[in-house]
Amino acid sequence: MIKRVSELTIVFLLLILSSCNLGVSGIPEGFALIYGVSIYDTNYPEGVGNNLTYPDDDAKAVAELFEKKGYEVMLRTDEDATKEQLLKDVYTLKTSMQMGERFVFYFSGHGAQDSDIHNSNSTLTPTEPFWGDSDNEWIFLHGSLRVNGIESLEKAIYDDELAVIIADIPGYKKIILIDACNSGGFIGSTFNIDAVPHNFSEADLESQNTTFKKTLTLFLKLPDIEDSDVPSSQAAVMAAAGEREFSWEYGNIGHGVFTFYFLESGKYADINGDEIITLNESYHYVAESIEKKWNRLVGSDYRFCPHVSGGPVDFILFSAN
Amino acid sequence: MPKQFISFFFFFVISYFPLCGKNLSIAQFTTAAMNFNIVKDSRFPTAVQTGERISWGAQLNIFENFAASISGGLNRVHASFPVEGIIYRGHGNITGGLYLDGKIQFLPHTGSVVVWWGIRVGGEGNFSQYSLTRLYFFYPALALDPFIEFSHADKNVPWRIRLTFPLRYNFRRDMVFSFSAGIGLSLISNPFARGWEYD
Repeated sequence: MIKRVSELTIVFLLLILSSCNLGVSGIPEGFALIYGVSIYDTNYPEGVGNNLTYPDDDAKAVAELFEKKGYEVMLRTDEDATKEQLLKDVYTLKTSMQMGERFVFYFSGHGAQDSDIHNSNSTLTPTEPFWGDSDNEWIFLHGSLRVNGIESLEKAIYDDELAVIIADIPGYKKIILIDACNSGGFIGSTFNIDAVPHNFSEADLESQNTTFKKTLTLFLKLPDIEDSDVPSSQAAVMAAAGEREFSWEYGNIGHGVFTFYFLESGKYADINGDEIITLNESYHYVAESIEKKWNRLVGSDYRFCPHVSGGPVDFILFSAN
Repeated sequence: MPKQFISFFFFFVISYFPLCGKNLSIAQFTTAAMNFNIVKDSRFPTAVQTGERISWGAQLNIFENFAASISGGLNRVHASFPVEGIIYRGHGNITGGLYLDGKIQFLPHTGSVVVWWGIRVGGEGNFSQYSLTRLYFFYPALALDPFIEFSHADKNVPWRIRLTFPLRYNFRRDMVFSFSAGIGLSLISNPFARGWEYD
Protein backbone atom coordinates (compact mmCIF):
# COMPACT_ATOMS: atom_id res chain seq x y z
CA MET A 1 0.00 0.00 0.00
CA ILE A 2 2.75 2.43 1.07
CA LYS A 3 4.82 1.43 -1.97
CA ARG A 4 1.86 2.12 -4.24
CA VAL A 5 1.33 5.56 -2.68
CA SER A 6 5.03 6.35 -3.12
CA GLU A 7 4.91 5.32 -6.76
CA LEU A 8 1.83 7.45 -7.38
CA THR A 9 3.44 10.42 -5.62
CA ILE A 10 6.57 10.13 -7.77
CA VAL A 11 4.48 9.89 -10.95
CA PHE A 12 2.47 12.94 -9.88
CA LEU A 13 5.61 14.96 -9.18
CA LEU A 14 7.19 13.93 -12.49
CA LEU A 15 4.02 14.93 -14.31
CA ILE A 16 3.91 18.40 -12.87
CA LEU A 17 7.64 18.94 -13.24
CA SER A 18 7.48 17.88 -16.87
CA SER A 19 4.89 20.57 -17.52
CA CYS A 20 7.40 23.29 -16.81
CA ASN A 21 10.59 24.16 -18.59
CA LEU A 22 13.20 23.84 -15.90
CA GLY A 23 16.14 24.99 -17.95
CA VAL A 24 16.65 28.34 -19.58
CA SER A 25 17.07 27.00 -23.05
CA GLY A 26 18.35 30.22 -24.57
CA ILE A 27 16.47 33.48 -24.48
CA PRO A 28 14.34 33.90 -27.60
CA GLU A 29 15.22 36.46 -30.23
CA GLY A 30 13.66 39.87 -29.90
CA PHE A 31 13.06 43.06 -31.86
CA ALA A 32 13.38 46.51 -30.36
CA LEU A 33 12.06 49.80 -31.68
CA ILE A 34 13.95 52.52 -29.85
CA TYR A 35 12.74 56.10 -30.20
CA GLY A 36 14.16 59.20 -28.56
CA VAL A 37 13.31 62.82 -29.27
CA SER A 38 15.37 65.66 -27.88
CA ILE A 39 14.90 68.13 -30.73
CA TYR A 40 11.26 68.95 -31.42
CA ASP A 41 11.97 72.28 -33.08
CA THR A 42 15.01 72.18 -35.32
CA ASN A 43 15.34 75.97 -35.21
CA TYR A 44 16.48 75.74 -31.62
CA PRO A 45 19.22 73.80 -29.84
CA GLU A 46 18.75 71.09 -27.22
CA GLY A 47 17.44 72.25 -23.88
CA VAL A 48 15.58 75.31 -25.16
CA GLY A 49 11.80 75.50 -24.71
CA ASN A 50 10.24 72.13 -25.54
CA ASN A 51 13.54 70.81 -26.83
CA LEU A 52 14.93 68.37 -24.30
CA THR A 53 18.59 67.49 -23.77
CA TYR A 54 18.99 63.76 -23.21
CA PRO A 55 16.27 61.62 -24.87
CA ASP A 56 18.42 61.05 -27.96
CA ASP A 57 21.27 59.93 -25.69
CA ASP A 58 18.81 57.75 -23.78
CA ALA A 59 17.68 56.09 -26.98
CA LYS A 60 21.23 55.48 -28.20
CA ALA A 61 22.27 53.93 -24.89
CA VAL A 62 19.14 51.75 -24.69
CA ALA A 63 19.66 50.66 -28.31
CA GLU A 64 23.25 49.70 -27.49
CA LEU A 65 22.04 47.71 -24.47
CA PHE A 66 19.44 45.76 -26.43
CA GLU A 67 21.87 45.14 -29.31
CA LYS A 68 24.39 43.78 -26.83
CA LYS A 69 21.69 41.48 -25.49
CA GLY A 70 21.01 40.04 -28.93
CA TYR A 71 18.02 42.06 -30.07
CA GLU A 72 17.56 43.31 -33.57
CA VAL A 73 17.29 47.05 -33.00
CA MET A 74 15.75 49.88 -34.99
CA LEU A 75 16.97 53.18 -33.53
CA ARG A 76 15.26 56.48 -34.40
CA THR A 77 16.22 59.78 -32.87
CA ASP A 78 15.09 63.38 -33.30
CA GLU A 79 14.01 64.09 -36.92
CA ASP A 80 13.85 60.34 -37.67
CA ALA A 81 11.62 59.63 -34.71
CA THR A 82 8.29 60.55 -36.26
CA LYS A 83 4.89 58.91 -36.04
CA GLU A 84 5.04 58.16 -39.76
CA GLN A 85 8.34 56.34 -39.25
CA LEU A 86 6.93 54.41 -36.29
CA LEU A 87 4.02 53.19 -38.39
CA LYS A 88 6.45 52.09 -41.13
CA ASP A 89 8.64 50.27 -38.60
CA VAL A 90 5.64 48.52 -37.08
CA TYR A 91 4.55 47.45 -40.56
CA THR A 92 8.05 46.05 -41.21
CA LEU A 93 7.94 44.08 -37.96
CA LYS A 94 4.41 42.91 -38.64
CA THR A 95 5.65 41.15 -41.76
CA SER A 96 8.95 39.90 -40.36
CA MET A 97 8.28 38.89 -36.76
CA GLN A 98 7.16 35.43 -35.68
CA MET A 99 4.59 34.68 -32.99
CA GLY A 100 7.03 33.56 -30.30
CA GLU A 101 9.43 36.50 -30.60
CA ARG A 102 9.73 39.37 -28.19
CA PHE A 103 8.99 42.94 -29.11
CA VAL A 104 10.19 45.98 -27.18
CA PHE A 105 9.15 49.55 -27.84
CA TYR A 106 11.12 52.20 -25.98
CA PHE A 107 10.36 55.90 -26.08
CA SER A 108 12.12 58.82 -24.43
CA GLY A 109 10.80 62.34 -24.89
CA HIS A 110 7.88 64.51 -23.91
CA GLY A 111 4.63 63.12 -22.55
CA ALA A 112 1.46 64.80 -21.35
CA GLN A 113 -2.14 64.35 -20.30
CA ASP A 114 -5.17 65.74 -22.10
CA SER A 115 -5.64 68.17 -19.26
CA ASP A 116 -2.16 69.62 -19.79
CA ILE A 117 -2.70 69.82 -23.51
CA HIS A 118 -5.98 71.67 -23.17
CA ASN A 119 -4.48 73.80 -20.43
CA SER A 120 -7.31 72.98 -18.05
CA ASN A 121 -7.75 71.08 -14.83
CA SER A 122 -7.72 67.29 -14.90
CA THR A 123 -10.93 65.73 -16.11
CA LEU A 124 -10.65 63.10 -13.37
CA THR A 125 -13.45 63.55 -10.89
CA PRO A 126 -14.25 61.89 -7.56
CA THR A 127 -17.10 59.97 -9.20
CA GLU A 128 -14.79 58.29 -11.66
CA PRO A 129 -14.19 54.56 -10.98
CA PHE A 130 -10.85 54.08 -9.26
CA TRP A 131 -9.61 51.79 -12.01
CA GLY A 132 -10.53 54.23 -14.72
CA ASP A 133 -8.76 56.90 -16.60
CA SER A 134 -10.87 59.33 -18.51
CA ASP A 135 -7.83 61.33 -19.54
CA ASN A 136 -5.72 60.36 -22.51
CA GLU A 137 -1.97 60.42 -22.13
CA TRP A 138 0.28 61.27 -25.04
CA ILE A 139 3.83 60.78 -26.20
CA PHE A 140 5.19 63.42 -28.50
CA LEU A 141 7.16 62.29 -31.52
CA HIS A 142 9.15 64.63 -33.71
CA GLY A 143 6.93 67.11 -35.54
CA SER A 144 4.25 67.18 -32.87
CA LEU A 145 5.70 70.04 -30.79
CA ARG A 146 7.33 73.35 -31.55
CA VAL A 147 9.62 75.19 -29.19
CA ASN A 148 6.81 76.84 -27.25
CA GLY A 149 3.70 74.74 -27.87
CA ILE A 150 1.94 72.02 -29.80
CA GLU A 151 2.59 71.85 -33.52
CA SER A 152 0.28 68.98 -34.43
CA LEU A 153 -1.45 66.43 -32.21
CA GLU A 154 -1.86 64.27 -35.29
CA LYS A 155 1.86 63.61 -35.07
CA ALA A 156 1.75 62.57 -31.44
CA ILE A 157 0.39 59.25 -30.16
CA TYR A 158 -2.11 58.77 -27.34
CA ASP A 159 -2.42 55.69 -25.13
CA ASP A 160 -5.33 53.89 -26.84
CA GLU A 161 -3.78 54.61 -30.21
CA LEU A 162 -0.47 53.02 -29.21
CA ALA A 163 -2.41 49.90 -28.16
CA VAL A 164 -3.99 49.74 -31.62
CA ILE A 165 -0.65 50.30 -33.38
CA ILE A 166 1.20 47.52 -31.58
CA ALA A 167 -1.76 45.16 -31.87
CA ASP A 168 -0.57 44.60 -35.46
CA ILE A 169 2.67 43.05 -34.23
CA PRO A 170 2.40 39.27 -33.97
CA GLY A 171 2.77 37.45 -30.67
CA TYR A 172 2.05 38.14 -27.04
CA LYS A 173 5.47 39.03 -25.70
CA LYS A 174 5.33 42.79 -26.09
CA ILE A 175 7.02 45.21 -23.74
CA ILE A 176 6.67 48.99 -23.75
CA LEU A 177 9.15 51.20 -21.89
CA ILE A 178 8.34 54.89 -21.70
CA ASP A 179 10.53 57.57 -20.19
CA ALA A 180 8.16 60.50 -20.38
CA CYS A 181 5.94 62.61 -18.14
CA ASN A 182 2.49 61.16 -17.34
CA SER A 183 3.48 57.86 -18.95
CA GLY A 184 1.79 55.79 -16.23
CA GLY A 185 -1.45 56.60 -18.02
CA PHE A 186 -0.44 54.20 -20.79
CA ILE A 187 -0.90 51.28 -18.40
CA GLY A 188 -4.30 49.75 -18.98
CA SER A 189 -6.73 48.65 -16.29
CA THR A 190 -6.12 45.16 -14.97
CA PHE A 191 -7.30 42.86 -12.23
CA ASN A 192 -4.76 44.50 -9.91
CA ILE A 193 -4.71 47.65 -7.85
CA ASP A 194 -1.53 49.67 -8.24
CA ALA A 195 -0.77 51.13 -4.81
CA VAL A 196 1.81 53.52 -6.21
CA PRO A 197 -0.08 56.81 -6.38
CA HIS A 198 -0.62 58.58 -9.67
CA ASN A 199 1.18 61.53 -8.20
CA PHE A 200 3.94 60.30 -5.94
CA SER A 201 4.79 63.69 -4.54
CA GLU A 202 1.22 64.18 -3.34
CA ALA A 203 0.59 60.63 -2.14
CA ASP A 204 -3.04 60.22 -1.22
CA LEU A 205 -2.85 58.38 2.08
CA GLU A 206 -6.56 57.70 2.18
CA SER A 207 -6.44 55.90 -1.13
CA GLN A 208 -3.46 53.86 0.11
CA ASN A 209 -5.43 52.70 3.11
CA THR A 210 -8.32 51.40 1.03
CA THR A 211 -6.26 49.06 -1.12
CA PHE A 212 -7.86 45.91 0.34
CA LYS A 213 -11.36 47.19 -0.25
CA LYS A 214 -10.43 48.15 -3.79
CA THR A 215 -9.04 44.71 -4.61
CA LEU A 216 -12.23 43.10 -3.34
CA THR A 217 -14.40 45.48 -5.34
CA LEU A 218 -12.29 44.89 -8.41
CA PHE A 219 -12.75 41.13 -8.08
CA LEU A 220 -16.51 41.40 -7.67
CA LYS A 221 -17.17 44.13 -10.19
CA LEU A 222 -14.73 44.00 -13.01
CA PRO A 223 -14.32 46.90 -15.38
CA ASP A 224 -13.93 46.30 -19.08
CA ILE A 225 -10.18 45.87 -19.05
CA GLU A 226 -9.87 45.93 -22.83
CA ASP A 227 -11.52 49.30 -22.92
CA SER A 228 -8.71 51.80 -22.72
CA ASP A 229 -4.96 52.41 -22.61
CA VAL A 230 -2.63 49.46 -23.24
CA PRO A 231 -4.16 46.38 -21.56
CA SER A 232 -1.74 43.98 -19.91
CA SER A 233 -3.15 41.20 -22.06
CA GLN A 234 -1.67 42.99 -25.04
CA ALA A 235 1.62 44.41 -23.72
CA ALA A 236 3.41 44.95 -20.45
CA VAL A 237 4.17 48.60 -19.87
CA MET A 238 6.86 50.02 -17.62
CA ALA A 239 6.42 53.76 -17.31
CA ALA A 240 8.76 56.30 -15.77
CA ALA A 241 6.09 58.29 -13.96
CA GLY A 242 2.50 58.20 -12.77
CA GLU A 243 -0.25 59.52 -14.98
CA ARG A 244 -0.33 62.75 -12.99
CA GLU A 245 3.36 63.43 -12.51
CA PHE A 246 6.50 64.39 -14.37
CA SER A 247 9.64 62.40 -15.00
CA TRP A 248 12.97 64.16 -15.18
CA GLU A 249 16.28 64.29 -16.99
CA TYR A 250 19.43 65.34 -15.20
CA GLY A 251 22.70 66.77 -16.49
CA ASN A 252 24.99 65.08 -13.98
CA ILE A 253 24.01 61.64 -15.22
CA GLY A 254 23.46 62.64 -18.85
CA HIS A 255 20.17 60.77 -19.15
CA GLY A 256 16.59 60.71 -18.09
CA VAL A 257 16.61 59.50 -14.48
CA PHE A 258 14.39 56.49 -15.28
CA THR A 259 16.50 55.49 -18.26
CA PHE A 260 19.74 55.90 -16.32
CA TYR A 261 18.68 53.26 -13.79
CA PHE A 262 17.07 51.09 -16.44
CA LEU A 263 20.46 50.94 -18.18
CA GLU A 264 21.92 49.57 -14.95
CA SER A 265 19.31 46.80 -14.78
CA GLY A 266 21.51 44.26 -16.52
CA LYS A 267 24.16 44.64 -13.83
CA TYR A 268 22.16 45.04 -10.67
CA ALA A 269 18.56 43.90 -11.10
CA ASP A 270 19.06 40.13 -11.02
CA ILE A 271 17.45 39.73 -7.62
CA ASN A 272 17.05 35.95 -7.63
CA GLY A 273 20.43 35.27 -9.25
CA ASP A 274 19.05 33.27 -12.17
CA GLU A 275 21.07 35.36 -14.67
CA ILE A 276 17.90 36.62 -16.27
CA ILE A 277 16.48 40.10 -15.93
CA THR A 278 12.71 40.20 -16.07
CA LEU A 279 10.57 43.29 -16.46
CA ASN A 280 9.53 42.95 -12.80
CA GLU A 281 13.13 42.78 -11.61
CA SER A 282 14.08 45.76 -13.72
CA TYR A 283 11.06 47.68 -12.44
CA HIS A 284 11.95 46.87 -8.85
CA TYR A 285 15.55 48.00 -9.31
CA VAL A 286 14.61 51.20 -11.14
CA ALA A 287 11.86 52.15 -8.66
CA GLU A 288 14.09 51.46 -5.64
CA SER A 289 16.99 53.38 -7.15
CA ILE A 290 14.84 56.39 -7.97
CA GLU A 291 13.41 56.36 -4.46
CA LYS A 292 16.80 56.05 -2.75
CA LYS A 293 19.05 58.04 -5.07
CA TRP A 294 16.73 60.67 -6.50
CA ASN A 295 13.55 61.23 -4.50
CA ARG A 296 15.39 61.55 -1.19
CA LEU A 297 17.68 64.22 -2.58
CA VAL A 298 15.28 66.43 -4.48
CA GLY A 299 12.37 68.64 -3.54
CA SER A 300 8.85 67.24 -3.49
CA ASP A 301 8.01 68.76 -6.87
CA TYR A 302 10.65 66.61 -8.53
CA ARG A 303 9.75 63.27 -6.94
CA PHE A 304 8.26 60.55 -9.05
CA CYS A 305 7.86 56.79 -9.09
CA PRO A 306 7.70 54.36 -12.01
CA HIS A 307 4.69 52.13 -12.63
CA VAL A 308 4.35 48.71 -14.19
CA SER A 309 1.50 46.72 -15.72
CA GLY A 310 -0.30 44.09 -13.69
CA GLY A 311 -1.29 40.58 -14.69
CA PRO A 312 0.02 37.14 -13.77
CA VAL A 313 2.87 37.09 -16.26
CA ASP A 314 6.32 38.66 -16.15
CA PHE A 315 8.46 38.97 -19.28
CA ILE A 316 12.13 38.15 -19.68
CA LEU A 317 13.94 41.27 -20.89
CA PHE A 318 17.48 40.03 -21.34
CA SER A 319 20.29 38.10 -19.70
CA ALA A 320 22.10 39.58 -16.72
CA ASN A 321 25.60 40.96 -17.28
CA MET B 1 -22.48 40.34 3.46
CA PRO B 2 -19.37 38.27 4.37
CA LYS B 3 -19.42 39.90 7.83
CA GLN B 4 -23.04 38.82 8.31
CA PHE B 5 -22.26 35.31 7.16
CA ILE B 6 -19.32 34.97 9.58
CA SER B 7 -21.45 36.31 12.46
CA PHE B 8 -24.23 33.85 11.65
CA PHE B 9 -21.73 31.00 11.35
CA PHE B 10 -20.33 31.59 14.81
CA PHE B 11 -23.74 32.27 16.32
CA PHE B 12 -24.88 28.88 15.02
CA VAL B 13 -21.79 27.04 16.21
CA ILE B 14 -21.65 28.60 19.66
CA SER B 15 -25.39 28.40 20.32
CA TYR B 16 -25.39 24.69 19.49
CA PHE B 17 -23.57 23.70 22.64
CA PRO B 18 -25.81 25.21 25.31
CA LEU B 19 -28.84 23.99 23.39
CA CYS B 20 -27.53 20.43 23.41
CA GLY B 21 -26.30 20.62 26.97
CA LYS B 22 -22.71 19.96 25.95
CA ASN B 23 -19.48 21.67 26.88
CA LEU B 24 -17.68 23.73 24.31
CA SER B 25 -14.62 21.90 23.06
CA ILE B 26 -12.12 24.20 21.43
CA ALA B 27 -8.78 23.33 19.90
CA GLN B 28 -6.17 25.49 18.26
CA PHE B 29 -3.94 24.45 15.41
CA THR B 30 -0.82 25.54 13.60
CA THR B 31 -0.19 24.26 10.10
CA ALA B 32 2.85 24.43 7.85
CA ALA B 33 2.53 23.24 4.26
CA MET B 34 4.40 23.16 0.98
CA ASN B 35 2.61 23.11 -2.33
CA PHE B 36 2.75 23.15 -6.10
CA ASN B 37 0.60 25.60 -7.98
CA ILE B 38 -0.35 24.72 -11.52
CA VAL B 39 -1.24 27.90 -13.40
CA LYS B 40 -2.29 28.88 -16.89
CA ASP B 41 -2.67 32.25 -18.54
CA SER B 42 -4.79 32.30 -21.71
CA ARG B 43 -1.78 33.35 -23.84
CA PHE B 44 0.98 31.20 -22.42
CA PRO B 45 1.75 27.59 -21.53
CA THR B 46 0.93 25.96 -18.22
CA ALA B 47 3.61 26.30 -15.55
CA VAL B 48 4.28 25.23 -12.01
CA GLN B 49 4.97 27.53 -9.08
CA THR B 50 6.13 26.26 -5.74
CA GLY B 51 4.92 27.77 -2.51
CA GLU B 52 4.65 27.46 1.21
CA ARG B 53 2.03 28.38 3.72
CA ILE B 54 1.78 28.78 7.45
CA SER B 55 -1.53 29.23 9.23
CA TRP B 56 -3.04 29.41 12.64
CA GLY B 57 -6.60 28.66 13.59
CA ALA B 58 -9.24 27.65 16.08
CA GLN B 59 -11.46 24.61 15.84
CA LEU B 60 -14.84 24.07 17.49
CA ASN B 61 -15.88 20.45 17.83
CA ILE B 62 -19.57 20.24 17.00
CA PHE B 63 -20.32 16.53 16.91
CA GLU B 64 -18.17 13.53 17.58
CA ASN B 65 -16.77 13.53 14.09
CA PHE B 66 -17.38 17.05 12.93
CA ALA B 67 -15.80 20.39 13.63
CA ALA B 68 -15.93 23.94 12.35
CA SER B 69 -12.80 25.99 12.14
CA ILE B 70 -11.49 29.36 11.23
CA SER B 71 -7.93 30.14 10.27
CA GLY B 72 -5.65 32.88 9.07
CA GLY B 73 -2.22 32.61 7.58
CA LEU B 74 0.50 33.67 5.25
CA ASN B 75 1.05 32.08 1.90
CA ARG B 76 3.96 32.60 -0.46
CA VAL B 77 3.94 31.54 -4.11
CA HIS B 78 7.27 31.74 -5.90
CA ALA B 79 7.75 32.84 -9.50
CA SER B 80 7.73 29.96 -11.97
CA PHE B 81 10.69 28.82 -13.97
CA PRO B 82 10.93 30.47 -17.41
CA VAL B 83 8.53 29.07 -19.95
CA GLU B 84 8.92 30.31 -23.52
CA GLY B 85 10.30 33.69 -22.54
CA ILE B 86 7.95 34.43 -19.67
CA ILE B 87 7.59 33.54 -16.04
CA TYR B 88 4.51 33.56 -13.86
CA ARG B 89 4.87 36.21 -11.18
CA GLY B 90 5.38 35.22 -7.59
CA HIS B 91 3.09 36.67 -4.95
CA GLY B 92 2.55 36.77 -1.22
CA ASN B 93 -0.88 36.36 0.33
CA ILE B 94 -2.64 37.01 3.56
CA THR B 95 -5.22 34.25 3.74
CA GLY B 96 -8.31 33.77 5.87
CA GLY B 97 -10.80 30.93 5.72
CA LEU B 98 -13.77 29.09 7.21
CA TYR B 99 -13.89 25.29 7.15
CA LEU B 100 -15.87 22.23 8.18
CA ASP B 101 -14.08 19.03 9.19
CA GLY B 102 -15.36 15.50 9.09
CA LYS B 103 -13.38 12.47 10.21
CA ILE B 104 -13.73 8.81 11.10
CA GLN B 105 -11.47 6.45 12.96
CA PHE B 106 -9.32 4.54 10.50
CA LEU B 107 -9.18 1.24 12.39
CA PRO B 108 -10.00 0.28 15.97
CA HIS B 109 -6.84 1.11 17.85
CA THR B 110 -4.85 -1.53 19.55
CA GLY B 111 -1.92 0.52 20.89
CA SER B 112 -1.62 4.00 22.26
CA VAL B 113 -2.10 5.78 18.91
CA VAL B 114 -5.47 6.28 17.30
CA VAL B 115 -5.51 7.01 13.58
CA TRP B 116 -8.27 9.01 11.97
CA TRP B 117 -8.84 10.02 8.43
CA GLY B 118 -11.07 12.74 7.19
CA ILE B 119 -11.52 15.80 5.09
CA ARG B 120 -11.68 19.54 5.65
CA VAL B 121 -13.77 21.59 3.23
CA GLY B 122 -13.94 25.34 3.19
CA GLY B 123 -13.58 28.65 1.51
CA GLU B 124 -10.71 31.10 1.66
CA GLY B 125 -10.05 34.68 0.72
CA ASN B 126 -6.58 35.78 -0.36
CA PHE B 127 -5.32 39.35 -0.32
CA SER B 128 -2.21 39.23 -2.48
CA GLN B 129 0.71 41.32 -3.62
CA TYR B 130 2.82 40.52 -6.65
CA SER B 131 6.50 40.22 -5.75
CA LEU B 132 8.75 43.20 -6.56
CA THR B 133 5.76 45.46 -7.18
CA ARG B 134 3.05 47.29 -5.31
CA LEU B 135 0.31 45.60 -7.30
CA TYR B 136 -2.43 44.07 -5.15
CA PHE B 137 -5.28 41.74 -5.96
CA PHE B 138 -7.86 39.52 -4.32
CA TYR B 139 -9.04 36.01 -5.08
CA PRO B 140 -11.14 33.43 -3.26
CA ALA B 141 -10.29 29.75 -3.19
CA LEU B 142 -12.11 26.50 -2.61
CA ALA B 143 -10.23 24.38 -0.07
CA LEU B 144 -10.35 20.61 0.12
CA ASP B 145 -7.91 19.06 2.57
CA PRO B 146 -7.89 15.29 3.00
CA PHE B 147 -6.02 14.42 6.19
CA ILE B 148 -4.78 11.66 8.44
CA GLU B 149 -4.84 12.50 12.14
CA PHE B 150 -2.93 10.80 14.92
CA SER B 151 -4.14 11.11 18.50
CA HIS B 152 -3.25 9.41 21.76
CA ALA B 153 -5.61 6.79 23.06
CA ASP B 154 -5.60 8.65 26.37
CA LYS B 155 -8.08 11.46 25.72
CA ASN B 156 -6.43 13.65 28.32
CA VAL B 157 -3.33 14.07 26.15
CA PRO B 158 -3.95 17.52 24.71
CA TRP B 159 -1.94 17.11 21.47
CA ARG B 160 -2.73 15.71 18.07
CA ILE B 161 -0.81 15.64 14.81
CA ARG B 162 -2.47 15.89 11.46
CA LEU B 163 -0.92 15.13 8.08
CA THR B 164 -2.82 17.11 5.47
CA PHE B 165 -2.87 17.11 1.69
CA PRO B 166 -4.22 20.58 0.91
CA LEU B 167 -5.90 21.06 -2.45
CA ARG B 168 -6.98 24.50 -3.61
CA TYR B 169 -8.87 25.72 -6.62
CA ASN B 170 -8.09 29.41 -6.87
CA PHE B 171 -10.68 31.59 -8.53
CA ARG B 172 -8.22 33.89 -10.30
CA ARG B 173 -9.98 36.14 -12.77
CA ASP B 174 -6.77 36.81 -14.65
CA MET B 175 -6.00 33.14 -15.35
CA VAL B 176 -7.59 30.26 -17.17
CA PHE B 177 -6.98 28.14 -14.09
CA SER B 178 -4.94 28.06 -10.92
CA PHE B 179 -4.85 24.92 -8.87
CA SER B 180 -2.59 23.89 -6.02
CA ALA B 181 -1.78 20.65 -4.26
CA GLY B 182 0.61 20.02 -1.42
CA ILE B 183 1.46 18.39 1.83
CA GLY B 184 1.37 19.86 5.32
CA LEU B 185 1.63 19.11 8.97
CA SER B 186 -0.72 20.42 11.65
CA LEU B 187 -0.20 20.47 15.36
CA ILE B 188 -3.55 20.55 17.11
CA SER B 189 -3.79 21.31 20.80
CA ASN B 190 -6.52 21.76 23.34
CA PRO B 191 -5.64 25.01 25.11
CA PHE B 192 -7.70 24.14 28.17
CA ALA B 193 -6.09 20.70 28.57
CA ARG B 194 -9.40 19.12 29.45
CA GLY B 195 -9.11 16.34 26.95
CA TRP B 196 -11.18 15.86 23.85
CA GLU B 197 -14.86 16.19 24.50
CA TYR B 198 -16.22 14.01 21.78
CA ASP B 199 -13.74 11.24 21.04
